[in-house]
Amino acid sequence: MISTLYIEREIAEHPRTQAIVQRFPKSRQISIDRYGDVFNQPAQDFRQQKQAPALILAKKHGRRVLPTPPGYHIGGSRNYYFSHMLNCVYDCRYCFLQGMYRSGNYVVFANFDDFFSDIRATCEEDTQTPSWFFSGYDCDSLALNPVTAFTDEALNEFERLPNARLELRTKSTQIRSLLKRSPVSNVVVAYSLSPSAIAEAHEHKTPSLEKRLQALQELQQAGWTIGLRFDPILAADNMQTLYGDLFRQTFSALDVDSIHSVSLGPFRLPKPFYKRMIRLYPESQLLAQPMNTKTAMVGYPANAEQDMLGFCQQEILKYIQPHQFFPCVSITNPVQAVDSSVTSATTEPALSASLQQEPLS
Amino acid sequence: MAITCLVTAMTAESKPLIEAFQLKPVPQRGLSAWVGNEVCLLQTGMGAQRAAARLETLMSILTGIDAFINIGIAGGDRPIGQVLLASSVHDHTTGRRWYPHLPPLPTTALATDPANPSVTQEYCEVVSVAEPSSEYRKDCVFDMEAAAVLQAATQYTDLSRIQCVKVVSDNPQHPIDDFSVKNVGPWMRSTIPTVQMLIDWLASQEYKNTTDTFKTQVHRLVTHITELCHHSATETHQLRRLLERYLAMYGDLPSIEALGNLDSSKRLLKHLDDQLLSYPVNY
Repeated sequence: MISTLYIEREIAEHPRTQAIVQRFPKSRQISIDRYGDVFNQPAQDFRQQKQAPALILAKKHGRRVLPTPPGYHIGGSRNYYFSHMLNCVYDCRYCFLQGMYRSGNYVVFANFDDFFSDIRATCEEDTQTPSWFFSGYDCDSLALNPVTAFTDEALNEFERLPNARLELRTKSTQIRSLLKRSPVSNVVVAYSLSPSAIAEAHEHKTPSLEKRLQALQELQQAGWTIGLRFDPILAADNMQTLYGDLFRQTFSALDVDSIHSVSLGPFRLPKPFYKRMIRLYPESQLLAQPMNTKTAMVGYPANAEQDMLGFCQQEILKYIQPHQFFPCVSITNPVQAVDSSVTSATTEPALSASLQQEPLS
Repeated sequence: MAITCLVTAMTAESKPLIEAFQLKPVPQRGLSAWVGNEVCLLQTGMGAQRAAARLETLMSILTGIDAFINIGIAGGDRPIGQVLLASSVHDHTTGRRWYPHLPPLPTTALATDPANPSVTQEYCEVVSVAEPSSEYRKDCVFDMEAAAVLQAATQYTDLSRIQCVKVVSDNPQHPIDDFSVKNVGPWMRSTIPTVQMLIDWLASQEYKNTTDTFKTQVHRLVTHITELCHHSATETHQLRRLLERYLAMYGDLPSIEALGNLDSSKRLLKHLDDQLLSYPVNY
């Protein structure tokens, strides 16, 4: 239930704004000049706002499509991301958004057409090479789709852009709009997955692992291309059992050969985000675990991290082919990367680098 | 105990609230303040400078205040006696604007909560001006203190814990020249259900209390330890974070006895670090 809508005057008459507003007939509607006046104002409590977030409807100005950091890819050479929404309906305790934004409110940029126009222009820069676009960067790609209808419009657009590839990154089971239509061959629906016990402990308000796997099965059966994102891997004394079971459960539920990509990444946060998250959640067990805080990117101690990733890589590669595997950081211990081309392409702490970026406002 | 501070400007605005919340005077010369069970009231006098100065004084003598509600009269092109929640507060002099994080509507929300018809769901911007205004607009109401209260209160808490409730005292049909202080009492009484709703909402944010208790527990032990064993500023900071982590992991803080011989800060920090490293994390 959204109780408060902030609406930028400039976008108030846009048909999409009107359509979203109509979904909340009982909500307060407050006119604003720019979304940043509310979203970026000082003296906000992310944690409190997260309990009853407002929805801010805005127009995205400036650069809407940005290149991903070098090394962040799932097989392509031209990689971009865009954020039609800021913040996520879920409340995962490890999520960097908690440290990146002052506000727990949601921002939806209603000018999708401008995003699509920029995506077309980006594709036209090089018509010979496919361009990848990642949408689940600052939000969950599907979770608010019943309200925004973003996915439906994005799919219509990408259907007309054979040279473009789209990754929808999600934990959501809001797949009705996908199942209602024919699969779009240049779109990958990628699910973030964690062991059930970890999801229950830290991924608040998200669908269970079982429901996510069921959604993946339905999508795959309907002919959609799917991806798996085991990211972040969290430390635990029983992590081998937890993640071993997760991989077994996941890969046995799916047609492994047709999985587009599997990525793997450790828990990591830029130090300023980590510090802000500790202030928000000082009682969090996850954030209280031993971390290497001496570097710009906070994560588990290097040896522990490498052991965890090495184990996960070894397990994952029991089920999939190396060309399907995209670790987000280099893995050197204890199991050497199996495919040297994959390793060289992902030596950069790719997503980590992306996390260092400023809020896209 | 967390206290919500009601902030008013005039005696006529304060009196109905003091009665309703059964507040007792705070014995402090030069300060008009009252306190009760989980609620206190500060009467600042008219104008921005007084509001900011008095609020600062109150914060220096009364501990536990973690939320503020500015309540008072305002003028606008709206029905006399209408109670409004501020969706934003605009300082006309500086141009600065604040957006308090508004409470969720009841799930059955209509224009007015049917379960409690006197709780307002009306809202608009409050514009704070330096002098009384005879301008009346539909999209906002004018007052003289809200911006100063917001400005001062944001030094102590965040914008979900600072709210502003106004009642319309003058409008084009009943301009400010017709204003009589005698009417203020009934108007202010009509704000009480809305103020109570806000107090209840603020109090219901249990995580805030949990977090405060968590930090207080750690702070007490840090103070105790540093009295017994010298720690540099950096070591004190490290100690605080180690104890926070310890409390998060173990669910309880170690007793002073369990920390062993407190003759070396370095040894103590190492001891705590080792304890945390050995804590088994299982799901």
